[in-house]
Amino acid sequence: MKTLLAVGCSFTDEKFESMVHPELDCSWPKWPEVVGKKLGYNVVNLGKSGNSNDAIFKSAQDYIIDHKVDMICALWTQATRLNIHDMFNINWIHSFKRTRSHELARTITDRTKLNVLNSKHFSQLLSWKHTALANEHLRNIYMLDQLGKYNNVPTYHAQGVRVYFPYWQEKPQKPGGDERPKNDGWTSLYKLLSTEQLKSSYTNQQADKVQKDFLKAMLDSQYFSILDKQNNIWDWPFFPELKLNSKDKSYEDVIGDEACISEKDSHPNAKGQQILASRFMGMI
Amino acid sequence: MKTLLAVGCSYTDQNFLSLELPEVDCSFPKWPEVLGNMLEYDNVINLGKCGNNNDSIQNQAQDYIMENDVDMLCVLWSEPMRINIHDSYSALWYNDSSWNANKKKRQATREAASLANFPEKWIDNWQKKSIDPEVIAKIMLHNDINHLNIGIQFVRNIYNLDQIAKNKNIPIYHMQGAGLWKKHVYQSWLKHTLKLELDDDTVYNKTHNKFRKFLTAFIQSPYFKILDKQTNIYGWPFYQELGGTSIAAEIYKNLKFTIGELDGHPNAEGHQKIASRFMGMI
Repeated sequence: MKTLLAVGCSFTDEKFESMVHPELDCSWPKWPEVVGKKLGYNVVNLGKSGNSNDAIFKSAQDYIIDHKVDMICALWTQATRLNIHDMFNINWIHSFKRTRSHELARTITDRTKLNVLNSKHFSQLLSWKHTALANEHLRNIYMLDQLGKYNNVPTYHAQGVRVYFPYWQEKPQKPGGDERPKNDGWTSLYKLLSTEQLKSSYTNQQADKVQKDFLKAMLDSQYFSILDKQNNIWDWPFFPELKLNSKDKSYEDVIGDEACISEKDSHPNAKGQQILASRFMGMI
Repeated sequence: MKTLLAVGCSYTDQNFLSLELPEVDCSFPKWPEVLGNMLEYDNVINLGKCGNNNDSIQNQAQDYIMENDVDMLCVLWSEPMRINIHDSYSALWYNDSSWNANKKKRQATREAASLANFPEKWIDNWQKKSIDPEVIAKIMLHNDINHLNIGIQFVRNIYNLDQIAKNKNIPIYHMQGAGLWKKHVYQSWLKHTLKLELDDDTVYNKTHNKFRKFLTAFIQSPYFKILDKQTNIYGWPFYQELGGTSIAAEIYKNLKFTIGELDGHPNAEGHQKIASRFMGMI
């Protein structure tokens, strides 16, 4: 029987549980299972909540080196997650949501991870090098793509969570839609930074510039021109701002609020998982 | 024109300066330059950078060969206990000196100082403020499993760069430069974090068992058996306990090859030695 290898973050995790709604039964089929059924493939789902893109690539690589695989589907995550020795991943965006994250962290290890980074100093650090995230993200996609090609395994990519937006910026509004609920994490971070040294260097008005710098870095990456010629990446180049056709739908448009668990938890619900699966099937 | 691409950490950095012995003139030719001369290559690209981690070493080489013609790639790998922060920074979260505030401050300052445009007033100990090495150490070392990933990650880096070069038909040679993950890492951790008075036997047993598990994980990595068949890795499998060697092990406490008693980085003769080791493989 043929095998589909699926990799990703919480959007892919077979055992995903909503931390916002712990009472909710989230055992609906995830997109790898749906795709696998449609293709008649055995499914190996390595999706894991909290995964970084680095860990997504490496988990696929580690699996392939020892196992035969007939197809790889990757649902990539935020560029702001840091892989610590393949042991755990830190989403430093979330580490800014200090209070709420600590409330939600269920184990001592989870809480300890949140203390690895000092968000204030870490944000200073990254503010000088944030464009490097763009190249890193594309390199991960390229690497997995190459891995598939060298092993003669068809590989398909999609972006799950939005790649990046400036971390002192309010979460962007849905294009043409209602204003999304304010995100406590970003709001509190902005408040934190506005009292710090960054205030003089970065203001919210400059968030647009920072976003543009990031997008420019993405376009300048040597991996962009390679990936740009491919047709195995859904929603490429991910950012509506980079799409030649302004009518191209973004991931957020396609998924929509009805396909999320709730206003507070934007993970895909059963309908969202079906949509993700249909997007992969559209490419396959 | 033939091009040699060299990547690595402070053992490779063309602009290396000794923090411990700042009065020493370190402008002697580094191994990439020496090797380039030996090979009679007219172009040497040295991407070595103080503080580099192995992920960055791999990524820098890959990014370079994506856009440039390279005829040979030589890699001097670094300590496996460094974390890549988004290709921008390298966090040395653990070594003998990381428990020593003054040394840690110097290390952080050295790395930050190499960053263009980094505000001078923020240089002071930025790394310590941004990332808590002790928290990472607690997670990595508190049980018998977490630290094992470091060994697997390390061999994957070597394998990846090896594959990238081979896919582009670039001859590639590897060597281990700076120190490896060693038993004394656990000893320092026990001494500094448990805050317990442990007798020598207990310390030995605890650290010996952990290190043995680490080496077992290293050997059992799926990448190990692939690299184990290759002839382009000097000193493989690096660990003396496994019959291997590294440059750090070869020049350790030998003043003929190092900057001085306080700084174990290779001096001019040390760099000649590294270059000749590469030549031996080539």
